[in-house]
Amino acid sequence: MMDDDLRQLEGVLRDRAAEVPQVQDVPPAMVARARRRVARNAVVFVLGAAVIVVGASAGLATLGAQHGPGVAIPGDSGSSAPSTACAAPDLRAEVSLGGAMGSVEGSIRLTNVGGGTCTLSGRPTVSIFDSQGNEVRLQVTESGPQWQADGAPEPAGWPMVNLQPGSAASVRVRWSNACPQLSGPASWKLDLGNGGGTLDVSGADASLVPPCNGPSEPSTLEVGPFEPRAGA
Amino acid sequence: MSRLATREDAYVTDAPGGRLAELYVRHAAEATRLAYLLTGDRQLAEDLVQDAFVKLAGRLVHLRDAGAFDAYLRRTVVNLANSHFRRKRVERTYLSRTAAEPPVFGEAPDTGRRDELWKGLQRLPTRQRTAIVLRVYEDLPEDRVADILGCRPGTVRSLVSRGLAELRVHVRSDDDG
Repeated sequence: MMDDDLRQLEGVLRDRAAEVPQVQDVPPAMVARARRRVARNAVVFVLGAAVIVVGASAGLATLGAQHGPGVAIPGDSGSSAPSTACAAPDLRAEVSLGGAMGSVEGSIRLTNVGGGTCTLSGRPTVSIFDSQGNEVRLQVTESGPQWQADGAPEPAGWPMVNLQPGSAASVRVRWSNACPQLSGPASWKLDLGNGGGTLDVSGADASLVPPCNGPSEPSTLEVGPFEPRAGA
Repeated sequence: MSRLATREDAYVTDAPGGRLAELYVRHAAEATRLAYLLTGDRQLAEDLVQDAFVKLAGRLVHLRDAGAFDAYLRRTVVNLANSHFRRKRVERTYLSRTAAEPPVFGEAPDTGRRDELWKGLQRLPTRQRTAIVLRVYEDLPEDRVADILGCRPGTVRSLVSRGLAELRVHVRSDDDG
């Protein structure tokens, strides 16, 4: 298929998708069905839990007999040395995004390019600008960290993120409903907060713009907290 | 009632601020758009999305973050659409033995090339159509589409490529006719 055809197909899909309006109300029949499903799950859960409790009681009784009280929890050392808060010149910011359900979502990677270890905590302020440099009006909401969404264990030391030179932290982002539709590519800025300064966010994906699916709805940006970058 | 059941019930409540209601208002339109592109039928798309929310209601308690819900919902919608077409295929096989083939789903008067593309898309095999919608409309990378379809990224590439080729043939043949 030629590029023109592909663009035309994309246009057809977007136009058809735009026929579906925003949802305002929740169908009561669906809520009733959901309730019945939850009730059924609860019965299954109670039966399953009863089996587990019996098994676990027997297991704990055996462990208690072997170790006694006061078992240490691994990974809770709390021994990391204090370090200074990261400032904008210490960091390089790069965004990586993909399309998702009419949104663009991904993460901003913050790499420590300075010479020393520094610390990030809390949640940055993220702004998006159109190709003319005007700030896009956004309704910003807070989302949880990626590790939580993945069901992974809480990283050691979180919500503080210690960044050694060369290592990276991450911030989840999800941008939806860019209305009115931007005519050109977007650019992003990230304010570290606590006087840490502002970074220009690089990366080819920074120019991605989600579709305008609900012209009467606000454009929303979900921003997660600083967290260690998975695999970093 | 167990603690889990109580918490899940709190998710399902239709009172203002109930988690299911909140998630529905937030995600249902996007999910319906996806289901519509996969099925070509608005009413069916709305039904599938409601089925998806009911299916996910029992698992909401395990989702601490709305970001994860997005991915679960997308996968559930795709699976439900695929199940629908599997059932339709069985139904059509049965009907073909007893009567004429039913009309192609979503058939509409020809009003141009864009309609031909839309009709052609609906005539593609389900997996080809799904791969195309997820790649072209959702703009998902191949590995995430592969994850949803339960295949390898190379298979996704092949599904999209074959689907687009069939679509081109369909549109050309209609142009010629």
